[in-house]
This record gives sequence, structure tokens and C-alpha cells, in this order.
Amino acid sequence: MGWQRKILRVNLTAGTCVHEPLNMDWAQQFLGSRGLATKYLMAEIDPKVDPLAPENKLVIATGPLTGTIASTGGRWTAVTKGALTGAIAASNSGGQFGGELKMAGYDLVILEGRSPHPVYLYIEDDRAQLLDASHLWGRSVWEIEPAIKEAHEDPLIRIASIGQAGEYGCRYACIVNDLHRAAGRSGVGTVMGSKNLKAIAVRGTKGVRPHDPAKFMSAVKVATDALAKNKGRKGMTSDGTIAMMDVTGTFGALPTRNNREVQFEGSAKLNAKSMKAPNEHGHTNLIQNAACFACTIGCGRISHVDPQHFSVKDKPQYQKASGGLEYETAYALGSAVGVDDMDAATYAGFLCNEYGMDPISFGGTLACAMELYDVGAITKEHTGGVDLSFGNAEALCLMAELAGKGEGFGRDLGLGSKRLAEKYGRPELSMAVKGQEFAAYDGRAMQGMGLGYATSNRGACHLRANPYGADFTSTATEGKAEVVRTSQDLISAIDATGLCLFTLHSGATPEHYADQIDGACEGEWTLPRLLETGERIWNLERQFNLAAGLSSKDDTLPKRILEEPAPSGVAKGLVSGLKTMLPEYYERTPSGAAPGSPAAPSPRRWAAPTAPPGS
Amino acid sequence: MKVNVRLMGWLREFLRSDIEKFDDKDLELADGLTVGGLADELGFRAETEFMAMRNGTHVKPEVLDTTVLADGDVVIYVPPLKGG
Repeated sequence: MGWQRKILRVNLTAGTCVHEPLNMDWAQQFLGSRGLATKYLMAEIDPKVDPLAPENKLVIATGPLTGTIASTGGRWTAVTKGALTGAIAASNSGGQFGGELKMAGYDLVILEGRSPHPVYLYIEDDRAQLLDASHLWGRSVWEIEPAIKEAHEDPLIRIASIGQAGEYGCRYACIVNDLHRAAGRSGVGTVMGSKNLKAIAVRGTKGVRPHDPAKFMSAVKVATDALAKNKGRKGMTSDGTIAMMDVTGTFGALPTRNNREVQFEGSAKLNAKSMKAPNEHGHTNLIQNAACFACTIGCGRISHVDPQHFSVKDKPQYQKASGGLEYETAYALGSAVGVDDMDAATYAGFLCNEYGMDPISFGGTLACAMELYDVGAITKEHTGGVDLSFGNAEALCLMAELAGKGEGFGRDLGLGSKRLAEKYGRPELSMAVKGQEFAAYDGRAMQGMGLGYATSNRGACHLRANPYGADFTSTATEGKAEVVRTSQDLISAIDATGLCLFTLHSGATPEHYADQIDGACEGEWTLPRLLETGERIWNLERQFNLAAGLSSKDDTLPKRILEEPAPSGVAKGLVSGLKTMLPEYYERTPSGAAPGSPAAPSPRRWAAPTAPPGS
Repeated sequence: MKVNVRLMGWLREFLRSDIEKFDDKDLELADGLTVGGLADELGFRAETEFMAMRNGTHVKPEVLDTTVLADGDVVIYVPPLKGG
């Protein structure tokens, strides 16, 4: 079956938890996780709703392969209207929580309304109840996870929760699970906080039954063997995603100081090698790698900060091991803000996890604030006397704390870069798309990535398209539109399976996903059908955005990327060729429809065998 | 001639099996070897796409096999890592 065929609907206003059967027609069309949750959201809310109103809903979703032995089958997704963007938000996380929720018997948990007081949702298989969380409100993720486990006398409970950032309305608050994994982007934690829901704690013992066990086991073995042999996978295990730092740093695609530059002189202090090398005190940042539920890649990093570093001196609670720098955090808390201090970036990353903030958007917003400070739009009067110069590691650490708690200038940082730059009169200094801050790639050196950012339904994102190979091979715009569009469809499908996207970067082929889904689910899942499902999901997200009031005008990039040439690197002198690529990207849109509109089905994909989205 | 060869990301995983893995190494090479030819000799050219830089300048794919290395050169090979 793959699917558990069951939804948990939680009405926070009424305080009720009700089981419902899963709509299996929709499951056959939208598969699971990102896809199926978006279908339910689209059907149940007005896309024009205020993201923080009780009428917005938050859908926590697993995929058919979540909770199975398929490698990386532990992913879960939070889908809602994003507090940061006002667009569809689909934020994906690993860890152990997703597998536990699936094994408790649920494909989706739909959270609606707003509780009159803080609560947490406690699930033990079929039993689900809302419990008072007044004593947990105002406390961090790191405090409440052990508190809930202790209260229920069960260390195996898995918890997804918000920290103080989600409580006060930081626009890029995330939902953190298992202490340091996060559904990070677009403000899904802000929506959870607006519902007075502090945490979801779950214990599941039911297991997951595939539709055809023999076929499923065979497909899993083929896919897992492919990962085991793959050389890229070996690199991902040994170095983690931070290996990218040398690549973008050399190429000239590493956003530096709010994208003023594309290469960072301090990148060698933030790379995989320096993470493993002892510092002058003999302290090594990296302790070991880590894997999520059922994962055979293990790209995660477990780190600790040098106890003698200024950030953690006399703070023993921060001298322990926790989730270390990934490439994205090393960029956002490093080159984006001009800081080359690995311990400071690691500590700031810890704070993002503890308070429940997306480190990419926090770093991007701080980088924007630093440029506003540099041009005089922000002064020490605004910052409480703090010198916000690029490169100030102490300011990075302090601002992470203030933004996490919503105190002082941190409250302004909690707005996100778009609202911050508008507030201080320089909107062009926000490096964001649809209000969401850039990930760790510059759209001038990587033309496909720029197009991917611009057209991403949830705002700037490095996980919505796969132009890496094409971009690192050529800085030209030719062919990038097709790469971006087709990979957006494939990734939408992968995100709906419950597997990790990094399998695609570690040796998995599209056939591996289709074969595993075919073993797990009824319905003859071929690769063409899987890809068609991906396109359907992408277009449904786009329909949501159009109904929310967004249009193709939002498929754009900041003026800096469109008009200011890259100052160095392989793409020196280039600006984004977005205007050249967009028409080709839209080419498959049926004539008569608005550019970028998925309103009418394309003959190639939507004619058969399934109905068009929205039906 | 001596050339400093730097392999970015985890390109070392794609080295020929009889070559000891390295990220940054000075190699003694035969005169006349090109940037593309060195990638062939190291064994990763057949296995993965890459971008090359010689002394800080991008060596475009069409001139990989005509760009001759010289003593003292620094050549960097960058693989197309994904994700992050």
C-alpha cells in the first residue's frame, strides 16, 4: 500500500482530533508528501488568506516511501501558505520524525484553526490528543524536546516543534525536529506558531506495508546498491554538502556580502578540509557524519564549537555536539555576511536550530542589514549600538540570538530581507525572489540556477531545480530553460515519494524512484507516470500562487543580478540572462494562457491518463 | 615540468584507481601535456563532467585539448557538485 490511507485532522480552535480516510483518487494523482498535501491545501483554503490567520491550514505530510526501508525514506513535508512569501510553502525535512509519524499510521496531519492557548499535539498510534503547552511556551526547541520525552516517560518519542522565533512571528521561523533537522524555508514555523501549536510529539509502532513486498524489496536493493557504489555518494558521506564551498568559491558562484561579490576570500576557512582540521587549540569542529531515518548516504555533520571561542565561552550548553555546518549554512552564516569564522558560523547555526529559524533566510536578511548599514540606511541607533559591518563575527552571533528571541534589532531582522529593505527605503538590496532569500548560488555565474530561483513556486530555492551540471559546465543561457523545467518536474515527484532529493545527487536514477514506488503502491507506477505526477504537482503549486495573487511578474530576480555584472570568477562581466531564458521556459504554456500559467493542460503531459490539476 | 593540480569537491573519488587520492598536489608532468590531457591521465575525464581553470582563467571545453600546460602552472578542476 505505501499509503496508510489515513489522515489525522486536528481542529485547534475546537480542540478536536479526528481520523479520516485518505482520498485515494488524489493519492493516485498527487502521490504523497509535497504533492498530496498541496492538493488538500488547495482544496481546503482560499489561497488569498492571510498566512497567519486561523483560516490558513498547515499540512504535515509523509510520502508512500516514508517509514519504509527504502534508502533515505524518512522525509516529511510541511505545506501551507508561507508566512515569508505569501506563496505556496512546501518545506521538507529529514531526521527521525517523519518515519515515526508514518509508523503511527498517518499519511497526513491537517492542522486547522487556532488554539485559544498554547498546546502540543501528542500522537501514540491511533490515539491523538491536544495537551496544554503553557509551560513550554517561551522555551527553545532544545529545552522542550527533552521536557516532552520526560513528561511521557518515553525517550523514543519523536518531536517536531517551534522555538521562540515561531512564537513571536519571525517570518522565516522553521519547524525543527530531532533537535537539529528542520522544515526550514518559507516560514512554516511561523504559521505553526500563529496556531498556538508548540509541538507535535509522536510515537508510532505500526510499521508500513508495501503493496508488493517482493517487488518492493527488489527495487530497494537495486537503488541502495547504486548509492553504495556511487563515487559522488562517497564524497557526500565523507565531506558533506560543505564540499560545495570550494567549487562555488573557485567558479565564482559563491554569494558574498549580499551578492556584491561572487567569491569569498575566507572560503578556505569554511570548507570541508577546515572542518576536519584541528585549530590552534587542537580543537576540531567536525565530530562525525550523521544519517537520517533509513539513510545510507549520511551527509549530515555533527560538530562542536571550540570551548575557548568567544561565542561559547562560559556557555557549557553550547559546547556540546549538535548539527554542524552544511554548505547552505556555511554560506548564509559565512560568506553572505563576510564572516570567515567557522566556530562563529557553527554557533549561529546552533542558535538557528535552538530558536527555530531558517539559517538561510536569517543569514540573507542579516547580509541585507549589513549592506543597509554600509550605505547608511541603518545606523547604530537602529542596531542598539552594534557595529553591523560585514565580517563582524560577534555581530553575527549576537544578531542570531536577538532575531531568535525577537528582541531589539532582532525584531527587524525577523521581518526577512524584503520587508526589512522596504522599511529602510532600499528595497533593491533584498536578495530574494517572492520574498524568500537566495540560497548559496549566484544567478549570474549559474544561469540555470538564476532561472530556477526566479520560477520557483516557493521563492528562491536551490532544491527546486537541478541545473548544477549544466551550470558548472557552461555559463551560457542556451539549453538551461529545458534543464530547469524538466528537473522541476522530476524533483516535485521525488519530493512526493518520501525520499531525500540527495539520492539524485548520489547515484539514484529516475527509474529507481519509479520502481520503488511501483513496489510500494498500487497503480502501475512507471517513470512516465511519475514524471507526469511531478509536473501535475508543480502546476498545482503554481495554480495556488496565481489564485493567491502572484503572477509571472514575480518570476524575476533582484536588480543586482539582472544588471550588475559579476565582478570576478568564470562569469566575470556577466549578468543574468533571465529575460532570454524565460520565454523558452514558458514555451510549453498553451497559447492564450498567461505567461507561466498552468491554467490549461499541455497536450503532452495532462491529456491522459489523469485529470488536470484542480479537478 | 612541475604543475600544481587542485581537485575541488570530491573529484579525488574519480581519480584512476592506481593513483593515490589527493586534493592538492604538485605533479611532475611530461612537456606538452594539455589541460584536457591531464584530466585523461588522472582518469576522471571519462567519468564526470568538470570545469577547468589554468592560472585563474577559465579553460573553455572547446580548448581543453589545445591548452598546453607550462612549468609552474596552477590548474584547478571543478566537478559539477549538486545540492547543498
